[in-house]
Amino acid sequence: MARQERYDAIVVGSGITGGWAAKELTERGLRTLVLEAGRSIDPENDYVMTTQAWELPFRGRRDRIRQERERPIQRECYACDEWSEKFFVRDDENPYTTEDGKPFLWIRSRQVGGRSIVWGRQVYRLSDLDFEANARDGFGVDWPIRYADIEPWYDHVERFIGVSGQAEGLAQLPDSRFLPPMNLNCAEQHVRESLMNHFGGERVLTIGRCAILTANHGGRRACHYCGTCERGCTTHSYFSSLAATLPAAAATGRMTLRPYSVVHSVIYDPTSGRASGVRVIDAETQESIEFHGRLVFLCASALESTRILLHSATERWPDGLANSSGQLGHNLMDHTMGGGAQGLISGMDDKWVYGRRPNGIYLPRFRNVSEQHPDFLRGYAYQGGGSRTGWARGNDMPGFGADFKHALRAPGPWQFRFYGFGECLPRESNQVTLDPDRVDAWGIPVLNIQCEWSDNERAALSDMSIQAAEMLEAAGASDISTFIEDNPPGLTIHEMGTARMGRDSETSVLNGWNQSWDVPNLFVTDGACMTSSGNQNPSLTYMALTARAVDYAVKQISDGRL
Amino acid sequence: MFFTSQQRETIEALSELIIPTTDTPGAITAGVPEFIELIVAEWYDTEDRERFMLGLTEVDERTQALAGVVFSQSEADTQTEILSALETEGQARIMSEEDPPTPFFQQFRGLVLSGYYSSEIGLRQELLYQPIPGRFDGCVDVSEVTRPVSDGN
Repeated sequence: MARQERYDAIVVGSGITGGWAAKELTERGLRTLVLEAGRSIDPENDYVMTTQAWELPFRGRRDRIRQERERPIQRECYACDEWSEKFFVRDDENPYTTEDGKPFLWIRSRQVGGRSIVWGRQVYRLSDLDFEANARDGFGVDWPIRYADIEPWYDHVERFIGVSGQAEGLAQLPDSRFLPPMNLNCAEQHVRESLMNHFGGERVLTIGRCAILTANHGGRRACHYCGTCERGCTTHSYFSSLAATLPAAAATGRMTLRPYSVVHSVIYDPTSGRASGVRVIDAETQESIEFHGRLVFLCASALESTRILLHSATERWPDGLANSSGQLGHNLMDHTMGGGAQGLISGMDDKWVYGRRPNGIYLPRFRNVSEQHPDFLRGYAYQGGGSRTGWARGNDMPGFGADFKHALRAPGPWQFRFYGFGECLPRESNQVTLDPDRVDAWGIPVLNIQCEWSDNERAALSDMSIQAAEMLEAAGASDISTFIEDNPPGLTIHEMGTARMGRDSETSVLNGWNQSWDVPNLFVTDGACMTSSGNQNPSLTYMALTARAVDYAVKQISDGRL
Repeated sequence: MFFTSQQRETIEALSELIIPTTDTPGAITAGVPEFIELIVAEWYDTEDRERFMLGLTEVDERTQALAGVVFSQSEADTQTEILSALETEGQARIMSEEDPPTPFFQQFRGLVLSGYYSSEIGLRQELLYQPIPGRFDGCVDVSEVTRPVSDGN
């Protein structure tokens, strides 16, 4: 007989959305259980912020042979390096399957804090250009919400997490509530001004908007510019659930956080028509445990939440819990990345930077904002920035010896790079299902992932590289070269969709409050809920939707409807 | 130990020739030869390792042919001449062939650079060591930051 425990609410996952659900639920008085599949993280011991390259066996190159065995997929992520690989899952314990020739790279963390410990920290609001996109061109279904619905929740989240950035007043990229912006460097300032002159207000280069503090905020310290956030920040200067939302939830005295809790399935009670709780496998003991609660929030990351629902099939929903629409698992999206160009900027050889800014530039979407491009729908934006090359340019210089060594003491030329991120259309054929033939280290069936870019994404990638070169030319850059990388879906780590929100139960899994149409006390508030992808880094939107959904759910309870 | 003592001596001589001791310590003091041994033995795949070992053998063979001794025993001028010849030949190959495997000189120099600039000496003495800069300024005079800031890698 499995053990049983009761709570007001159960949150599955302790990452960027699980932390928000925990904070908002406990602050509204609910006794909340947060289940995390992985281990606890202790910043004092686990963060490697002050570890220097010479203290690592391979000096940061990583143990190639061991990584090929343990993390052949995770190592494709830049942050899964010799310092931070422990913040990523082992692929041998967490397999999934794809078809030959259709790779999908699923980058994952299992630990208290989830991927918020190693995330890219870039935060951008969606706008009505995004919320109306599906309705406008007919791909996917219409979002059940508009910008006005989420705007106060963006405010709410930003006030808490701390977002640095520059207000630009652009309709397609609404400003956040900003802490002071980080500086552009000299080359970036030059490119910003050149683009202003050349393109009017149409192409605006701004400093990246990031969840990194430029001033002390909410008990957390301003950034010290060591530059490598993904090693963990002992001053908690970038937002993570571990640094901010989970401590807020713990402070209420109403949160129980349980690591090593792999959620096996959601338990559905056909009598009440509600989810009664979740079934967990203890990752250390393999013991099966049931937890019960009035509310269940799935915040396990897009594909993990969907996997749990697929694995919670019932007699009524044989293809996955809460799947009357048949859309569960479908409409998987990621952002494309890697169309762009680089070049050299001359004329500032006597200037350099002080400190290592963990942030770059952002150039918001300008395609399909006011007129339709003939080759593709939707849009893209650039990240990137300017920098002076360091010692590594010695690899491309002639020579050796004392002069060679001393030449590398001076900085190299200013280079500038635009690196594009593009929207992905929601398409039913991009999907996940349970693989009937394979289980993970805890005996739970793994996902089979089928996802491919379409011609629309490829056309936008190509335009990214051309427009990047054009902008570098406008900025007077030399040695301009374009690139179009061939990155498989998944690697941008913005995987989303598969349990989309919509306006009706026939075509969507969730309503406009992230609430299951079929099982009213079940909410999914991570990236699985996304109806379209926009081209913006999505975590801010997930956080805002989570806070909004909790507010709704708790009001439903007080009104006696849940 | 992966290398023979003669191979190790050749590697030490080559490393110090590429990043010599000047007003800061050079490659040997920074532990570059030990780093190269680790990478060749435990990081390289078979192809890279074989290419490295062939190139290393060739260095001593050429020195024998030219000066009658192994590389580490040869005069400084001889060492410089051989290393320059290897660089020129490697560069010619890079320019003339479509995507050739990295020639030995370029392969070896790459190891010396990454080993030196990730060592404690490279990061703390050769580069400007700023583990916690405390602020970011995007436009300062180069004279304020006299050497490349180590990037934490």
